[in-house]
Amino acid sequence: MHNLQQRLSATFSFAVSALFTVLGVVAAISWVTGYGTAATKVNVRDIRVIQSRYGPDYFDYGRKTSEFGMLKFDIDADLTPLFNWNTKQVFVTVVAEYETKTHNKNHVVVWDKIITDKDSAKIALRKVSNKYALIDFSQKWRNQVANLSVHWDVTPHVGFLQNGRGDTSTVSFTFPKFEGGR
Amino acid sequence: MSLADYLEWNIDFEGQRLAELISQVILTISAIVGFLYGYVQQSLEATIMIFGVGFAITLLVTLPPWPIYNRNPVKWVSVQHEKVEDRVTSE
Amino acid sequence: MFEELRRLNKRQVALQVLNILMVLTSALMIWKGIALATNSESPIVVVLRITDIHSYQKLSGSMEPAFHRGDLLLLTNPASQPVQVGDICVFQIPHRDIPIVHRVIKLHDEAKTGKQFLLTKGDNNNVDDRGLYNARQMWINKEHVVGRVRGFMPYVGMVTILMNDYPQLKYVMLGVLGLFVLIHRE
Repeated sequence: MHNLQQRLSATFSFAVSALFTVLGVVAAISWVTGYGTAATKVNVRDIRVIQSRYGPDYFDYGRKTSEFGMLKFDIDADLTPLFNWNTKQVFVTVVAEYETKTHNKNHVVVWDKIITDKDSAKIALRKVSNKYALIDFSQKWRNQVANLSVHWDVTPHVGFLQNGRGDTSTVSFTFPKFEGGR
Repeated sequence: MSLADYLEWNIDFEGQRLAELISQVILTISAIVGFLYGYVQQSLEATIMIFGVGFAITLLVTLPPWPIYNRNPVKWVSVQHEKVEDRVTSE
Repeated sequence: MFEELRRLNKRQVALQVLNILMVLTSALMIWKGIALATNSESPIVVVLRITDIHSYQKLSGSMEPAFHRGDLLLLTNPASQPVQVGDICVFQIPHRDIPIVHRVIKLHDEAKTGKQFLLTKGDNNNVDDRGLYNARQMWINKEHVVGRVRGFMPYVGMVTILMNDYPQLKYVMLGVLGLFVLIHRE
């Protein structure tokens, strides 16, 4: 510890250890206390089924008969309880869940949003259209019943990712059978 | 002092102990204070900034060879010119 | 400092050279170890079998603002837990070199086999990952998933990124290390 370079490296390594200890405690606290729950509500305004072609990334682009669900919904969510000092961002999703004969679990994200600070954590949107293609694995909808719910995913500044869902917000809807014509 | 000695920023052993103690104390205190303040304010940025300031202060206080670190200079034994007879008898 | 160099005799020079070689080889070992653990496929599999946890370095910007280049991600991959929508997965497309770290936005579990059909998308991308999958591949399955992101530490991986972007930095660092060992006699 005689000369400059030794003092510098010793100080630097102690500083790094101290910093990592602090961050470790922060991560541990977040892991133990969690991020709380948010109040969410979603309801379905409209659901239609149309036939269309998949985008050019999809290998059956030529086929014109893939059935897509066109969903319009309202969402109310207050996600402010999820923000503490360790919250880096909250990823909110609206997910449609349903079961078919061939596939017993189907979860499709229809809408998502990234929220990075507490001030923009209150959501109240009306007549939102689904962001992502609402298409079944079989590419057909047949009077399918589905649930719509709100989920969130918290990314911390340091530590473990945690997620949750708004249980009170689940709402059911039915895909009408595509009758023909648009 | 030659340029090489000056650039090394040497300090004596007593000063070395003092510098190490000071750096550990400052860093620990700024880590704890930063943690508590950030927790109360719910701002991780505050914690990091307080720690960063503490780190900068530590560097400023312990890196340069301030005179307090050189209060007990190492007493080197002076070079002794050996007598030729002594060398012969001891070998 | 420079007088000491002049005073070194042959044995001491040899000793210093050996010291340097030891430092260099251990630095190289550490470097290769880190590179292996985070970039290539097989060591990851081995680590998974032993501990089920390993670390991963994030290289591109498709998951911002959650993850940035240089962040360290902690993954787990227990075979018993099915992937959920919203999970951030590290997956590898066959015949592609680089694993991708994106979020699962669709899943369909086959009733009979339990096989999972997953579609992923980067948070910061507008389109899903089908353009990244192989031609005619519409879904990925659990076997493509290397792990699910569970934990996170920012900026720790910056050193590796810097090393990748500026390979001269590697030599500069080793050179400086070597210089210190050479000059320093204790």
